[in-house]
Amino acid sequence: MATREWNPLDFDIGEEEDEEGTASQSSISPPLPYFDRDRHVAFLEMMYNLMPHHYQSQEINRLTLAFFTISGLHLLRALDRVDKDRVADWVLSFQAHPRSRAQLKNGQFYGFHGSRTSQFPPDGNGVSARNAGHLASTYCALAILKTVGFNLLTIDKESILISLRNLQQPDGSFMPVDVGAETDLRFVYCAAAICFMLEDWSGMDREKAKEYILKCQSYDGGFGLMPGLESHGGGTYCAVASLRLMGYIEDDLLSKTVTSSVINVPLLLDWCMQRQAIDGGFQGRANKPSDTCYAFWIGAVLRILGGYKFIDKIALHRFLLTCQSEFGGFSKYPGDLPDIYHAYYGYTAFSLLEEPGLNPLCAELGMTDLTAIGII
Amino acid sequence: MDSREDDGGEPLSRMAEWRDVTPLPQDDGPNPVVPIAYKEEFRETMDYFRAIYKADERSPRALRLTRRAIHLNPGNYTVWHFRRLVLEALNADLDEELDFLQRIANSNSKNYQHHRRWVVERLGANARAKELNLIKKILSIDAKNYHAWSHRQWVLQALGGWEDELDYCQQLLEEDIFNNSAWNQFSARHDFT
Repeated sequence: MATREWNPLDFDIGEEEDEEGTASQSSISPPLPYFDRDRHVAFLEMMYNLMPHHYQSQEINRLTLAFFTISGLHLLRALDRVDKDRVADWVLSFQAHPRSRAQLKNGQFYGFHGSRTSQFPPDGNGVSARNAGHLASTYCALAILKTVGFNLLTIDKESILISLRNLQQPDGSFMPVDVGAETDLRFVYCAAAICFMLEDWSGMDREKAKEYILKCQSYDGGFGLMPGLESHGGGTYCAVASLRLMGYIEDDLLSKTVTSSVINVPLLLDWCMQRQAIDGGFQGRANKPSDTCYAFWIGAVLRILGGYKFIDKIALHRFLLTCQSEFGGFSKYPGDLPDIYHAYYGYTAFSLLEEPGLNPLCAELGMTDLTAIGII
Repeated sequence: MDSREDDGGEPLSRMAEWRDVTPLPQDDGPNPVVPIAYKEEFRETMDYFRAIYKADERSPRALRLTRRAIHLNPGNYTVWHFRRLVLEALNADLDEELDFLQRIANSNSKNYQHHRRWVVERLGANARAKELNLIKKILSIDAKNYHAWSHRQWVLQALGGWEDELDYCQQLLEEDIFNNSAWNQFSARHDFT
């Protein structure tokens, strides 16, 4: 691992620092002409055992880091590297538990914490008695539990679903945590994915959520993270995947003779296709540099719509390999150092490309098909 | 807050001011997954934060401590939330808080978007010019910064100012006709007004 200081990216969608891409700081060896599965497994194993100190600024998202690592290993068909029981126990220790049913209506969310830094014993006084379950952490927690084969029927899903409603806003959007934070499409997606995985839609008002999503479609067909904002790859994924999970758009929409849809599909398709750049990679927004992760965010949208076949797969494959790191993992831009977020979305992108040796992907959940279906 | 906000970064365990506090270590459990190799400064700061948070101490030194913790993990919403509680308890000068946020504003700004809005909401219309100017500054360095544009739309919606936005968009497009964020702002101006 290089010793140069570098800033691992935040794992929220929309992180677009390093506008022009940093100059290559890693070695000058040319990219490998193939997907180097063994090296990626070694990278993930290293992360599973110990993450470098650079990730300490991501401590609050610890469960997300774990999701990328464990689901990543599953994508690479290397889940045997993981102690499943130990992982399940650890994840379950992050669940926020109400002391009584009455507490479920107190406005707080009894999901999962993302980190010990926001988790305090509920019998404390003052502020520490306040729980801070987080939507994204809950999505990651459930995803990890499913990945390691834990039976979700055995957890207290009622507390999660009843208190999930506390986070939905009047306009249909979701706040990620009750102590206050941005509301945008990312958290609508998390809520929909949580309900989908728990197989219970009582946790949210789907109609209102749909209305909010539709307000996010921009004039050019893509979706912004909030109404009025610029079309964005991550926003578009959250919008389309949510609508699919909630049952508002059919599978493989483009192959059906549909005369109407809740969203402007032709314009959306056009927007998605335009995001593949000359270098073969996908950009998150018009006229931005290509970035590894959008091969998933936008590729998955195309997969959901049934339009993945229209992209230039060879060019994309070539671009992604320039972001493959000799240390394992993927970087945001060609030649940069890897990080766990871009590594994970690099693997999902290769799964969409049907790279041999990788498990198939459930596009709308962002994890393996096997996990989504419930096969261990 | 005054300049003592910046406490020089000395280890807390060596500071007389913190002598009465027993830091609370993180309980990662017996078999943690993806453990992080925290640096000592991070570990210590968060151990003291945990202690202060558990005791719910809303004091000037608590405020300074949240600043340290924010610097080390700006995405930690628990720390931000506690900082708001302390600001309220101390009846702190929110103009100074805005100045503080401006000083630490960089491309990581999205982490304190919510906190920033909380401050601006309380300051009201007086903060508008300052905010719009700050966002212009950020956009002058990074003209497509998504969170800056998101915050800009929020300020315009909450405090007004759309009438001048056309000129601003035109200026940005003269600098870069391919700035899709500026094009989007044109459309948003039309939709919101």
